[in-house]
Amino acid sequence: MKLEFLLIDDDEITIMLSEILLEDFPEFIQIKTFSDGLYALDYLKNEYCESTKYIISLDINMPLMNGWEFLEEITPFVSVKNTMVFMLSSSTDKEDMDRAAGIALVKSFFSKPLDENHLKEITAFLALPQ
Amino acid sequence: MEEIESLAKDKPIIILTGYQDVNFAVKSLSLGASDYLVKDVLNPTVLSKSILYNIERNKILVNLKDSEQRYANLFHFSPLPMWVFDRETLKFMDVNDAAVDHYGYSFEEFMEMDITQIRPKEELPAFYQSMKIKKEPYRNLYVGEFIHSKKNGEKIKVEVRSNCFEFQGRPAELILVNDITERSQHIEAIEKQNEILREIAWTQSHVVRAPLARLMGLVNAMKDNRFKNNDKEMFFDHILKSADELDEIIKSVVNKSQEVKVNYKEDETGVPFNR
Repeated sequence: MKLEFLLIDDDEITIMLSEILLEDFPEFIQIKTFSDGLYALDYLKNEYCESTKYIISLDINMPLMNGWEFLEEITPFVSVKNTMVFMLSSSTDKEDMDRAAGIALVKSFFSKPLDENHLKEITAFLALPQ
Repeated sequence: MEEIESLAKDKPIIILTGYQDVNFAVKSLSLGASDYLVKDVLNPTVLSKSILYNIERNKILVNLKDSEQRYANLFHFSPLPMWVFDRETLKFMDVNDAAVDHYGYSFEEFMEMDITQIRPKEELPAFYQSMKIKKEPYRNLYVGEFIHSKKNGEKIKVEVRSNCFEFQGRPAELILVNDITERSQHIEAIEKQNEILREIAWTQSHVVRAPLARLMGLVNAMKDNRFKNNDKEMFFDHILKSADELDEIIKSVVNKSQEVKVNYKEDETGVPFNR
């Protein structure tokens, strides 16, 4: 099954650092980066297909469309079977974490910066039988 | 008669009189005497019966007077403004000292007024609405919070409780007022501060942590051997930029915190209540 890793963050350094870390994980070859939720939404609207697995690393605060709005927009047309969202935010606010826990698509909530352990957690989710 | 009464205080007075003075005796009853006896028919039985009867009757009267006085005192000396008004004409029927003090109208002025006159015009619709609520007699009822105006035009926020009963043969309502102007000003000031504190907390969590998280990520990457020196040079620039950004954000948080202090000071000087 084809696997795509979508990095959605308006902070280019976060994107850059995430990409560097992802180099150590050969399973994540297909990486696409988006500087706003809106652009990622456009991409999924046009390209989403059920035979591809999507891993999404999602920031919360972005200028055009924030992470919560993005999730609301994609929920009607993506399936939890092939889409996993991991929140990656600088927020350590419990309110944000609780909110994320209430959304079926969201598998986990990571506080920035992204590190190896976060990526290991993602691969562990991938290994789970679907 | 008046002189005797002032000497007797609460003791009963019995008048002894001759036939020709019966009219005077009857009149003295209205002046405060308890009884009169006509000398010509006076005998020990009549006298002792009259004395006993009048002592007993007087006890009851004194008790009744005491109890009336007690209740009148509870009303008049209540530290909270109270009044009674006629539910049909809306006229004030009685007003206590605290209400006179608090609202600035004299007792006599109050007696000429109806209760719409202590409300600002814009409050009248809400007032008539509240009058529509059917109130059961002898039930202490929390009516709500209203704006009243004093004689000097100052508006106050009050919490009103009422009780319906019959007073001087009229359907009346007893009102107890608690001025919460100051309290609500405090609550307002505190809520405003809470709002700012919430904003600061949100900023801490979302805005302050953003450059900090970036710094942490960059420092981790600096340790990575895979990067060449010119990569690291670029990381250094980003680290500096993030540090500057963090500095700016912290300055703005400090400014916000000062806003909390400023609000507090304003509150101390007492801003007039305005809704």
